[in-house]
Amino acid sequence: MLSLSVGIIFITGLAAPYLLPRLGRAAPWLFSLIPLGILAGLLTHIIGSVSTFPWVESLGLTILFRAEGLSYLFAVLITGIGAVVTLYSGGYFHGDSRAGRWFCFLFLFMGSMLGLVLSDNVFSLFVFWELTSITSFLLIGFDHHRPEARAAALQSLLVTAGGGLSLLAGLVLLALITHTTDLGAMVAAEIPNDSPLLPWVAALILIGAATKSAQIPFQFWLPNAMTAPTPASAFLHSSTMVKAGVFLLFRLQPLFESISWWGPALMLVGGLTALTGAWMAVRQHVLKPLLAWSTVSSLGLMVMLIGAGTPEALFAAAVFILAHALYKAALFLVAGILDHETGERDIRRLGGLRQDMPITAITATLSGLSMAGIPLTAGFVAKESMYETLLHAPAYGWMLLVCAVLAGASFAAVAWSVSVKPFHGSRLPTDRHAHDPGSTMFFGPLMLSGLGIAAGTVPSLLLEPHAAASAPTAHHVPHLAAWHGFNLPLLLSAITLALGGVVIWLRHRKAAGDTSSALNKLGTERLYYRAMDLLDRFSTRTANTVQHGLLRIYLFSVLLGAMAILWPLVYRHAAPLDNLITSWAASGAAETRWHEWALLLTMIMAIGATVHARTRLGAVTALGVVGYVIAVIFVLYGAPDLAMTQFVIETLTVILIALSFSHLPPFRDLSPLWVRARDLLFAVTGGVVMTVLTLVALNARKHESVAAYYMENSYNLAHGKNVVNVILVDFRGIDTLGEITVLAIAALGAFALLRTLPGRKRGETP
Amino acid sequence: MNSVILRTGTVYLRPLLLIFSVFLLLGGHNQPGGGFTGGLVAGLAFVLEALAFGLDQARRTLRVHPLTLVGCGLLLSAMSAFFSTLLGKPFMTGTWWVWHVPGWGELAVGTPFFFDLGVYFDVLGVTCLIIFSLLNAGEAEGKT
Repeated sequence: MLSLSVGIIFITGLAAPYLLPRLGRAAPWLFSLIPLGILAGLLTHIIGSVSTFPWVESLGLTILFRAEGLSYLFAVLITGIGAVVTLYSGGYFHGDSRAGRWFCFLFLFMGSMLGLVLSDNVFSLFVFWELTSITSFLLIGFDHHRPEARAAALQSLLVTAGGGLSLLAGLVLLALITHTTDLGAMVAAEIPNDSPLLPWVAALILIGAATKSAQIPFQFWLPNAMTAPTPASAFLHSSTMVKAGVFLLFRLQPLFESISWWGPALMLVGGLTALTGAWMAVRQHVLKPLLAWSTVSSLGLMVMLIGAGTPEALFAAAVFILAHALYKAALFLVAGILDHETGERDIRRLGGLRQDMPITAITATLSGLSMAGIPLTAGFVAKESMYETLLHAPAYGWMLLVCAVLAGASFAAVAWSVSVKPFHGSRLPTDRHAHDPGSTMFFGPLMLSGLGIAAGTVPSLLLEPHAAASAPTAHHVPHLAAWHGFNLPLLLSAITLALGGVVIWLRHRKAAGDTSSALNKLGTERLYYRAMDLLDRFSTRTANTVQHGLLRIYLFSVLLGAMAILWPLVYRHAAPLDNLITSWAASGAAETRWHEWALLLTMIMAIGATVHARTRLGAVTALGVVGYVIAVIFVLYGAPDLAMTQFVIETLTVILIALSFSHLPPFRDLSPLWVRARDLLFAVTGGVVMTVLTLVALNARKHESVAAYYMENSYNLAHGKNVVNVILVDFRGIDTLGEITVLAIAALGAFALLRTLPGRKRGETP
Repeated sequence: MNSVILRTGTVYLRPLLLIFSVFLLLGGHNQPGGGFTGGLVAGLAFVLEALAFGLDQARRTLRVHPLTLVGCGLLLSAMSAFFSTLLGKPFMTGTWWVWHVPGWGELAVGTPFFFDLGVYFDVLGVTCLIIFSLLNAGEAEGKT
């Protein structure tokens, strides 16, 4: 049932462009029923928790889906928020001709993401991991006519797919160490602590996870990815895909616990990311970058908690993942509504919209409360459990606590900027007439933010069971409650809010100027551009050196390379060469009959004519004669199939060359004597090497010839008396399949090149 | 090219070449020939027509765009290769149907035949595609 669910999402995605115009206005509602149905199936456990699907059985690869613990939590998040985003997209892309493409990409992403979190086989996990990178690329670059969207899409793909390669290396090593590809078995496996490869595995997987979850130093791609349409930002770049790295670290945490640097490394990376994100977030004035940097900060906090590593910390991380997904997705969708209905993205130019957009204002306020961590919200419960955990953390506790409090203060400031500032105060003029969006757009975010409040009011019902299941060692999980009484975490919460208030006040006083300089100071993005620039220049130089466009030199270098490889072979077999010739002569094959002498003479004359031809046509025709003579030799030695092909190919070659005459410069002899001497030497050497190689190959057989088997079974097994053909289409058919594919691609290349020749009118098709 | 001899010859050669190509294709399993050679010979027929009567005439005779032929040929070959997987056998296992035709003997048709047919169309398409493109480029150059 699980694999069926993933399959249905993929199929819906592929069919969406065809279904959309036929379903009309109901389409978004119907589309969102699919993730919603899967969500219902997951929550009621109608969809089983394990499902296998054979993939490449001969390689031992099966897609094993398991919805338990953390996978279950993420599957619920993906389908739930997926349903909301699908519905919202219906309004966001209403009347847009690209809506079909949008739904296609969205569902393909949803299927990949669901496959990623459900996979229990590390290699299917990797495939889905890369699929999410690719679909994310497509969604970020959705407005592909905008150069910055293309650049951001490419950047995110290079960073996350590059990290994916590191992840693959790590997973392969891990599979070698644990002798299993099953994720659950891996985590349970007893790995000797002194395995020298384990630290490498940990480092490689950490790099993969850090790129995906935008951890320092890879944080820069996520804010740039905000050029994506807002529903994609809400779905991929806040609540699901960017959490894939966190998910993986969470799943594999038990494996790497024994490595001394693992916990501190995660805490360091996560803490720095949390601080950087918090610092950058409060400097932004545009809605989406503001939210994006606070997402970076939240991801940092999650990684930090996983680094702390205690069961309580993992539990707190799971609670935070849930709470964050609820409020951040809703706030992104609110930002999308503001952009969509007012045409304005800068919070400095938004204000007093409460009267005109009451429902949006309520949604924003509810999510904002949760993000700021006000009591009776999911955000508050998550923050409390985080502080509680860090107060009792075995190591580095107070440093982590400082990070968490500072990040929390920035969340409060961001919440104020997004959910209070645009709706209160004096009404600022907007380009468009501001009003609440249609039901498709406000329904989802309102649901999410309402759920955030409900989860914060009765956390033992809505948050605890999901989060508790995901902790790997869930023997004693702390009890979640809406109110824990007056204690140290509450004091910290109060300090956090006070700090947030100070930040808001500072920002209000000094309307910070340009933020791009601060972005540039952050360094690592500059490294990315440096690397891209170097790659560009290297490729240009290589291409200019290798692809100089002189056909003769191409041919020369190819032949030179072949000679360099083949000469040693000939040299090694040089000793028995005279034996070869004597044995060949003794076998009678060397007895040449008179008509064979005639053929040989014809061929030599034709070669002479080719070399001495005064016109191009003459040279080509003479070369054709050489080919025909070879075909006749094939006939004499009993290879009619080869001969026939050779005849036709020779004819076609002559026609081909003759046709290309019109594109060639006049036929003149410009080469100096030494070039001609060099070419002669070269040609003769080539001929000798090939001849000797053929002789050597004839006598080098070590295994029994396969010919006997083919001769014997051609008719019995394959109903054919012509062995050559049976080999081509049956015994070695897969080679032929490859060859005709290559042929087709070569023809396509020629077709495309000849279409762009100068002197052709546009739009003509040959 | 405007040669009466070539034109007259082409009128008689073209059907012969086409029939011969089909003969090569069908007989290929037991006698010299096969899809590859057959496709080349058929391609030659159309090239000859293009040289004698012009590109437009050859395109009209071919009816479909060479690219379509290439695509369909590849598809047919790939489909016949995948056919055995539907029956639960390994990829590319030959599947045969044998009939006893009264007065002739045993007639065996198998997936390798369809594979060969795909090769035939692929090669025919590739030949026409390249040579038509070259001819077209040459004509365009001649005009300007």
